[in-house]
Amino acid sequence: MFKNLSTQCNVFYRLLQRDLKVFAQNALDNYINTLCWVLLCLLVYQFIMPELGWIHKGEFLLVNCVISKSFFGIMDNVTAAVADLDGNKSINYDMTLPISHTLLFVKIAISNTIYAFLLALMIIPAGKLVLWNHLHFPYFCFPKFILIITLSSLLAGFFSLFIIAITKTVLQIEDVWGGIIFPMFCLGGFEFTWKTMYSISPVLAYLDLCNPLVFMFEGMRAATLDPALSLPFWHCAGALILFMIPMGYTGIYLLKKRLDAI
Amino acid sequence: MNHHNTTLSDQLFIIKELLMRDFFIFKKIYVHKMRIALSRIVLLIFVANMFLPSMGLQNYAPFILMSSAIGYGFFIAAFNAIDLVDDITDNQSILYELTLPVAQWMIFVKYAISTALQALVISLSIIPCGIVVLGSVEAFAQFSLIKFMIIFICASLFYGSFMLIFTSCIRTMLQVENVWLRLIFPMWYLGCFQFPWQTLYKISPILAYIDFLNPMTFIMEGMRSATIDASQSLPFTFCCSMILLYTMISLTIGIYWMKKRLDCL
Repeated sequence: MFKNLSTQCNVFYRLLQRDLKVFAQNALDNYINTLCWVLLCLLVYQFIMPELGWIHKGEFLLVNCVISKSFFGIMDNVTAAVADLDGNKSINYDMTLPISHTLLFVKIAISNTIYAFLLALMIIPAGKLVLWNHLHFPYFCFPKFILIITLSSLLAGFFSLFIIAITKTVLQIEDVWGGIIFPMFCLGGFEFTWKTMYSISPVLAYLDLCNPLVFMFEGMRAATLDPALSLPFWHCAGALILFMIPMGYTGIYLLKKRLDAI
Repeated sequence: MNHHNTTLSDQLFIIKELLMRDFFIFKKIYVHKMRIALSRIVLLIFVANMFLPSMGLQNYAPFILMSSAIGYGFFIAAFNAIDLVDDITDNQSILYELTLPVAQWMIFVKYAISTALQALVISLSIIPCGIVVLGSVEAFAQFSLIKFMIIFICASLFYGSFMLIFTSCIRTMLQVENVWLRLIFPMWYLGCFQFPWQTLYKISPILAYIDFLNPMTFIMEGMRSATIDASQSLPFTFCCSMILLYTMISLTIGIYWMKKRLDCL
């Protein structure tokens, strides 16, 4: 039993290593693309939007970009996985390896988590390097920052299993973007805080707590900006862990069903 | 077949038939495309209308509605370019069109017109739904239907011609994300989607003039001039002239690059 477990762990580790090698091959392009997006958003929100009345500055946007990347970062891999399931089905090879199918799907989630984490991690240093004197983080707490990125990326990783399972063809990716990803992102608080939403409509605000992105954004703001702006950090971290369990369970269940896995 | 043996009217007839075929296919996917467009834009307007005033952005939703509606055609062009690149790198069904007895540049113009029509139809369809979400037309007191139609047509023509540039820039499907984030996103985002050109000018006149190199600036400003407040935007005629100038440039360069890419005669 334990020998079997050690073999499974070894295969798990090797597969993860392979995925990271693929990530490393595309890392430069990914980082340049991420930088283009972050820096443009940052410049607009730091210098132009305040002229229009926007009450926050670049810091608010920059920390939200971190969460956006940890959430959207999974979508490259999701598209590749859906294309694979829809076409070559190279996952069939992975499924013949001496590793339980559950563990194999957990590996996909962890791999996507690492991918999203590595992309999200470089956003604040990049923003800070460009706008050094303009960005101020007096409330920045590094351990909380790392914890919230880790939890957000993990949730995104397990969420990716769910998305892979429900997306039947590559053509449906657009529907998933429009029907699930974008609404979650847009109502999750990229441009506004949960407290703002609560002041306008408490009902909507409580309903919005069903959206895990609210806790990602709020948790990140609690870790890096004035905590008075956001929901309490530990509530957000706890909620993300709570979301992760059903998300992972459902994702693995649906993927197993789709692939007739054991 | 050599197109020199075919009269101009026959060539135009073939292009018309090809366009009809494209539009017939588009009709079948129109509802799907609209659903995707609305799922994004309705949410943007909803957030701008409900929550952004509390973040300091007053009367921002009409601004976002008009920017999103006219800007969406840019993404239609990008999606069509991706489809065409997919075809060029895989099935190459474009080769059939290039063997038809029409001048090859006309085939590329056909692609541009087809994209322009799609962008026009979808962008125009967004407006009524956006107004329903907005719940008021007060912000559009200076609305001019003629200017509105002119700017939509000019913008769509530009999107159609720029689609050829997109297609030329994307060598393989693996490059889609690079082109998306390094060309499409910056053009759209810095093209005054979220802010008026005057605000940029107040902050940095140099940057504002550099932004004239971005055709999206004129599209967004022209749209706002026709619908929201002409006094706060660049002059409408200037915007339209610049868009048409950029359309001609894009079409010429786009056809040249596409011919080069596909080894045309």
